Amino acid sequence: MNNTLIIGQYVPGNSVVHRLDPRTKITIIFFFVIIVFFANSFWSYAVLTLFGLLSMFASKVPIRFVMKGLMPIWFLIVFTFLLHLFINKDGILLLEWSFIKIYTGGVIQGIAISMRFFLLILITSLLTLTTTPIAITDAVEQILHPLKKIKFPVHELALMMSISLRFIPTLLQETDKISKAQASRGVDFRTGPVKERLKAVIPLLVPLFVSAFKRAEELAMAMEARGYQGGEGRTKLRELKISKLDIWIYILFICVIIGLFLTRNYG
Amino acid sequence: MKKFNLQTLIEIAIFAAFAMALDILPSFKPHPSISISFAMIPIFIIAFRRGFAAGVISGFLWGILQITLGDAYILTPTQAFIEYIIAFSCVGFAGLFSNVIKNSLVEKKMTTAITWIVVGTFVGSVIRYFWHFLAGVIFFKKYAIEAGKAPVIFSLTMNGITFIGAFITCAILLSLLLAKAPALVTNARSSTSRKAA
Repeated sequence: MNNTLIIGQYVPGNSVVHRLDPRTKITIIFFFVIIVFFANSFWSYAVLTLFGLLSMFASKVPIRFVMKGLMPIWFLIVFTFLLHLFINKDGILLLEWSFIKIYTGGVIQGIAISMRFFLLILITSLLTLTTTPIAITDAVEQILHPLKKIKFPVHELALMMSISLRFIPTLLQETDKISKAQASRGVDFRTGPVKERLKAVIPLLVPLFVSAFKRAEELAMAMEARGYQGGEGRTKLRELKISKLDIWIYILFICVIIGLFLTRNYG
Repeated sequence: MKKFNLQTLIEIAIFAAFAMALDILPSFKPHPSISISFAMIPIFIIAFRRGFAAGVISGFLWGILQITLGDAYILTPTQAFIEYIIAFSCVGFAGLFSNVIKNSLVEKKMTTAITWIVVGTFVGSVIRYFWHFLAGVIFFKKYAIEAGKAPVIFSLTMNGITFIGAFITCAILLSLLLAKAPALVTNARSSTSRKAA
C-alpha cells in the first residue's frame, strides 16, 4: 500500500527555516502574531515586512506555494480594504464620484490592514510549509510539558495527535477504495436527486466506520501487548535539539521586536 | 483523561483524523452548488458512542489538526482561538445525549432514537456555528467599527446558511446511518482493560 501520500502543506527542503527547531519556529510565530498588532506606522510595517519576506526567501519554498495559502483569503483582504476605503473619512479628500468619497485616511488604513493580514498568513503558512505536522506535534508537546504539573494531559494529547496524523492518509485511501468498490457495485454518488445521493453515502460510511473502530481496537491491543502504559519514562524516536542556528534566529527576532518598537509612530 | 482507556483514546484520535480526512476530500459533495461537508459526522459518532468528554476532545483534536495541517486561517489570535479551538470542541456537546440515544437504540425505539440524534446533532452544530458567528462579528467589528449592524447581519447570514446546511446533512445522514448500523454507537465495549495513565 502506498503510504507516502502527502497531507497538509509541507514542502520538503533543507533550508535554514526547515532546519530550525520546530519549537523555535512556533515560539517566534506566536510572538510575531502578537506584535503584528503593535505596528502602527510606515516604518514599523516595513520592519515586519522585511522579516516576513526574509523568512520566506530563506525558506526557499517556491512562491507559488506561499501564494496558494493566500488564495482563499484574497476575498477577505480585498473586502476589508474596500470597506476602509469607503468608510474612513479622515484626511484629505482624494476622489469624489457621485456618492463615493475616498479620503487619504481610508487608503492608508486599508493598506495597513491588508498588509497585516498578508503578514499573518505569510508567517503562519511558513510554519506548515517548512515543518512536518509530526514535528509540530512534538514541539507542542515539549512546549506544553510544564502544564503536566497541573495535571494537564500533555502526553495523551500529543499521542492522540500523532495517531490522528498517522491515520489521515490511511483513511483517505480507504475512503477512496471503498467508494470505488461501492461504485463498482452500482452505487451512484454523482447523479440523481440530492436525497438519493445522500442515501448513497450510507453504504460508504458504514464500512468506513466499522473498519476505523477495528483499527482502533487493534492498535490499542498492539500497544498494550508492547507494554504501553502512559507517558512516564517513554523515550522518543525523534529528539528535538536547540542548535546555534536557533539562538541566532532568536537574537534576530529580538532585534526585529526592538526595531518595531523604535519605529512605532514614525512616518 | 484518566477515565478513558487506551482504546477510547485511540478511537477519539482516529475519528478526529476521519473528520479531517472527510474535510480534505474535495470531490465529496452531495451537490456541486452545496459545499456543505458532513465532516462533523465522525465527531458526532464518537460523542454519541463515548459521551460528552470524548466528543469534546475529538472536536478539539480536529481543530488542532486544521491548524497543524495549514487548513486554518489565522487572522487574529482571538479569531483563531475561537474558531479552531472553541468552536470545533463544542461539536462534542452532542455527546450530552449519548445515554438516551444508546438506550433507545438498544431497546429498538427507533423514533425516540432518531429524535435524540437530531437533537444532539442540532445542539452540536448550533454551538459550533454560534462561535463562528461570534468570531465573524468580533473580527469585522474590529476592522469596520463604523459599519454599524452590518457585521452582525453579514456574519449571521454567512454562518447561518452554512449551519443550516451542515445540520440538515449531518442529521439526515446520522439518522440513516444509525438506523442501519446502531452497533456503531451501542457496541462501545473495550477489549483492552488497562487505563491509560
